[in-house]
Amino acid sequence: MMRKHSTVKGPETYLSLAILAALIAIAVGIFLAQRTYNPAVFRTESGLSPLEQGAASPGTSEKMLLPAPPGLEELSRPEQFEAQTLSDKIDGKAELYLSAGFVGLLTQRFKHPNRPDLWLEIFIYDMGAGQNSFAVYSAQRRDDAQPLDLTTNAYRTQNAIFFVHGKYYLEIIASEASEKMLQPMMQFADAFIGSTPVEFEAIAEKDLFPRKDLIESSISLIPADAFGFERLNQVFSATYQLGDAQAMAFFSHRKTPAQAQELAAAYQVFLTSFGGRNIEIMLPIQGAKMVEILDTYEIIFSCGSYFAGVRDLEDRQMAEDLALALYQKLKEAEGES
Amino acid sequence: MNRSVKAAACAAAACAAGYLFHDSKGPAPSEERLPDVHLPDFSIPGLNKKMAIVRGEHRSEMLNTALKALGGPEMFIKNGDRVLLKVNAAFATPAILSATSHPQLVSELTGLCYRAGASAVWVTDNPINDPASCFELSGIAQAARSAGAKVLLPEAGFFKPATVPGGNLIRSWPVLYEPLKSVDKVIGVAPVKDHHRSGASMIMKNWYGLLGGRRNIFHQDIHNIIKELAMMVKPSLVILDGTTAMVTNGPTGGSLSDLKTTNTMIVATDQVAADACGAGLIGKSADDLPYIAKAEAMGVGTADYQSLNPVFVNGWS
Repeated sequence: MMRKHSTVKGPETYLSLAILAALIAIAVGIFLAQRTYNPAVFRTESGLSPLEQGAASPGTSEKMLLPAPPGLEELSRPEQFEAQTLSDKIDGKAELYLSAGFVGLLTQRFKHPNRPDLWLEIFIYDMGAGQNSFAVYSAQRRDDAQPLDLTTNAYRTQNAIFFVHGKYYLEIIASEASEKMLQPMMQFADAFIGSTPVEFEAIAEKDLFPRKDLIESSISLIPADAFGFERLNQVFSATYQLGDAQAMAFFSHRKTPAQAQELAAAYQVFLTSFGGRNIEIMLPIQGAKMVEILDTYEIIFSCGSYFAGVRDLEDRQMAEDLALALYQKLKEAEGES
Repeated sequence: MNRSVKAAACAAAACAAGYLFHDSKGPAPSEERLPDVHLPDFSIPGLNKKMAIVRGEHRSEMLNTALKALGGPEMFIKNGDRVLLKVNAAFATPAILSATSHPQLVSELTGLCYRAGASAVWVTDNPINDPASCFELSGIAQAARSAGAKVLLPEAGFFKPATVPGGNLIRSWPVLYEPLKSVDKVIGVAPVKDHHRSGASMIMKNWYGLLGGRRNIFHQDIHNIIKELAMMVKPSLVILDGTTAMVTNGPTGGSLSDLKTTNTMIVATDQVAADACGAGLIGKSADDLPYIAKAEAMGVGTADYQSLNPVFVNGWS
């Protein structure tokens, strides 16, 4: 008995043919696209082409919109940058922030409604901790900074304001030096501070510098590669005005006294490797070393868990006096801890 | 029902196969896949040791004075030339912050090119930030258009893989090639700036704006990438604008207090010499910038700019 073969016709057949045709078209399209592969546009992990990565941030969202400073309107959409993409915004300066614990950046531009050439850009850096934001703030502090009463660490220059608020470091930069722009910049800053709760972190280390002849505004935190030595990180430094000369005192808290001692020894070797000359020294600071380099004196020592020293002094006696004063302050701090 | 089950099973198998074969990273660049392009040599024979250093206040005047001292724009631009100005439009910052090529200079240079007989002047860069914003907010786009130049914003199709002979970093790397292949002359136009990683950003660093891809990986070897960029690009002329120098917090700056009035314009056919001279404007020497010695060692130019017998002109009236 012969079996009857059923035939399927009608909608199912046509649907099948349509699906097959679509699959063939997709395959042809992929083949053609792969033949014209361009390394400039191959997708990276972020899913954006290299050109697109320099443009609008992948993290832009309505929630991240900044309130427009009073009297200004939006010029561009907010942009967000993370560690991997920070250099897409600030190029080579990214290293400064990345070495200091950078978490994220939010930026946006605003313009004057009647003057398109008058605009400003707001940069909000999340540095993860108050000490980190202080580090990037102090590393870039301008010489003609005029202190502002916004926060403990805040100043303005002709066209911009810079300040620290907890873990945030902000820059508000205007397109021209204009008092007309200063008011909305300050109002935005006030509003941001008022609406952004942060944990207040006092930089207690600032009080460890001897006060005499100290240029208070010079206190800074160098997050990495201090004085060209890659092992010197998290180094507090301050400048002193000693008559006509200026000098620097510095220290860094290490985990243990042994680490502080070892770092002092390593830094001394670093200096001598660049032509520094060891000088005999008689100071009531155990283990203190003096190096003469580039016609100046540096004194290096450790005090408990602190690695410390002074540098850039042409006068040996001044170097010793400043080193001793710093040692006394650190010794008191060690005694309290 | 049976057929539906089979169809569903096939669909599921196809999806699974698609997932297994999916490669989000894409294939690695391959020389076999696309041949590397070679950038033309835009240097002008017989003019490789020309340099003028002008002191003055006004960019346009200093540029004119410098070119006149070197024999006039006609020495570098011939009738019918298509000219590309490779500017620094890296950031969307206003001209007063000197993080980008100054619009006045772009405008004046464009006009000079046309008066010398150029048939077309194009302005380009592959900025760090969004290209359209950078060219507009820096003022370069407006200045270029006003003077009759065309701004070429980078597009994906403009990039082709290139390898620098003797280089280790620029190997089958996407380079902004399309504008370069269509012109007769290339002029590099850059401000003098401090740079957090390389120490300075001047003429040679300016060629970074010809790179595509994830070029920030080269920051880890900044001096060698600048060296290779200088090996890759042989310009007709370079103009280093030291009217205002960014002496600190570079390359972005941000405050007028990052700037110093240095009133100097350096025009040369030797990009190494130009940078070596420009270093002094930010308080550095050529020895402080390792990429200069590296480029010199590769024969790109000379760090001893004095050996070119530059024409010094004091433009103060």
